[in-house]
Amino acid sequence: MRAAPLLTPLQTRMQSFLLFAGNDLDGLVVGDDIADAKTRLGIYADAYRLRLAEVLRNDYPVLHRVLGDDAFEALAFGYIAAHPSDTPSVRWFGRHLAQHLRIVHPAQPQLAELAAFEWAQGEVFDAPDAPELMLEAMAQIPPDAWGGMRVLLHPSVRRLSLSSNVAAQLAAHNRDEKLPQHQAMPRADWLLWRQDQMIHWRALGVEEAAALDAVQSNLGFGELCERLCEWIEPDEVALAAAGLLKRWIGDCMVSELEFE
Amino acid sequence: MRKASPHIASNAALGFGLGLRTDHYEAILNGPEVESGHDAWPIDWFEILSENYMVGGGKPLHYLDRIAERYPLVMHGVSLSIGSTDPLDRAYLIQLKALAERVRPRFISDHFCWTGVAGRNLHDLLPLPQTDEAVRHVARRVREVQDFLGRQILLENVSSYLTFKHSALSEWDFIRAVAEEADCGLLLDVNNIYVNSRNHGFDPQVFLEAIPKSRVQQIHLAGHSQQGTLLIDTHDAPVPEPVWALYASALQRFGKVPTMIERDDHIPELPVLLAELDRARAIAASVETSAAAVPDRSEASIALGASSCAAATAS
Repeated sequence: MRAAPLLTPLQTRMQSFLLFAGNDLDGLVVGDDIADAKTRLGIYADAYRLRLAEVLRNDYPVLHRVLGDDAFEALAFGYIAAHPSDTPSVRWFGRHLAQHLRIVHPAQPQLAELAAFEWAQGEVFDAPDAPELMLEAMAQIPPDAWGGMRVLLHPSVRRLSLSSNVAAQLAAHNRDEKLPQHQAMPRADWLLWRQDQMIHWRALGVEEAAALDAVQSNLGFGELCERLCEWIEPDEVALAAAGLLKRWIGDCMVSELEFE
Repeated sequence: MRKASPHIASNAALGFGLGLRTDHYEAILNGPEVESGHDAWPIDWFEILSENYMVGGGKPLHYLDRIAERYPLVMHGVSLSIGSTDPLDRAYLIQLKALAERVRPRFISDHFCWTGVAGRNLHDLLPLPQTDEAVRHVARRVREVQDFLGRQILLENVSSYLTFKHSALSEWDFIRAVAEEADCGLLLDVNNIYVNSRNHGFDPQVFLEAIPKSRVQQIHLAGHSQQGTLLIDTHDAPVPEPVWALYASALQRFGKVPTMIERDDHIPELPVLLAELDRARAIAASVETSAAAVPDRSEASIALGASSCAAATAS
């Protein structure tokens, strides 16, 4: 007669022990002269939390610097308890941290903004590869095709809305400099993208933000120009919009121009 | 007893490799300094951590493709969770297969472990109870994975810090039984054998003697650290002397097996790891490999073990 299936209850109990540290595992593990059962299980319990905390430290180095070791570790342990991993790769484990910070530190929205910025950097870093349009492509656009043309952005392009100086903190960190103190700023749109395998970012003016909104809503270039008329004179808008397109292509942010 | 499929024994000449780490990307591609007199690093192959390259693009795949143009690669995963009672993760397997098609690895490996259930991933190589049930469960899943990938995989023995009360088999009997039942290869981590021998109080030579020679396709060497009375597989230090000694014993038993150094933390400059690789080469050169002339006692004992296991099941 075969023994009763053991694997499923064993794995369920051990996982609960690791996720919710401290539930009863009496009798599941054998102790001996080398180490007792509690010590042996403790190796796994400690390793679980410490390993994932290290993953978060690597994904959020500037947030770690801003908070310091103890506060970051407390944040990490809280996050690990609230968001157990459900993906095969630890690459995605920290994706909810900005949202988590909005809940646990509602009075310090700059922390969530910083986390969102650092996570977006990671997304830009390994976003799918795609063709990058060359400036020559602009010269080949038939004059009557501009109005219905759609701009397809590179998959690495990300947008953020920020009301603090987290970009300055990121820049200082990248230069190995002392981080500037948190500072509230007028809310602004930010753009992140990858060019030559490097991560770039810049603040967007209101016109460019509106133009990118139109692009990301899959609107045609004519409709994009109509939106820009809110800020730009109608007889200047086509040239201004073409200027934006030229800048995006020059920054390797455009993968394709699609025509009707 | 199943015979190992012929093609798993075709990579003996692969040589000596290193784990591919981001810290070394530029050094690998730029090659040694001109003064060294060499135009390429004396590294025969690299092992990649599969999950690190399951991304859309950017630098990880950029460097991977460039390094794959110059060196043979093997793929080593940590998330197959072959021992989990969850269904196999089909999306993960699709990514694994796509990566294999991209880098055309000599081997694809993972671990004798489970990493989570109920859709969770604990990102640890958790030990399995060494039972007949687990042998059947793991072997069935290995066959399923091999069918999906269209090739054999290797499974690695893990470091462990506990023994489940229900374990009825030794670790080596468990590994041997799964390998034979699933017809998979083995990646022998010599450091893990040493760590487990200290943590569980067994003779590592007994482990080596029990492993079927024809199954061992790759060897890992690494360092560990001590925590109280237990050794922890930290991969953050040079290969220690007892592991080098056990490596020599392993080569005496298994003959020429592709070997690599694993370092995951406190990663030194490439030349430091190359010095360790040179030591592995020197040990391999000095070992009298009379493997072919020595009968494989483990394979004879498998036949006996399989019979007695069948008898026990029938009763």
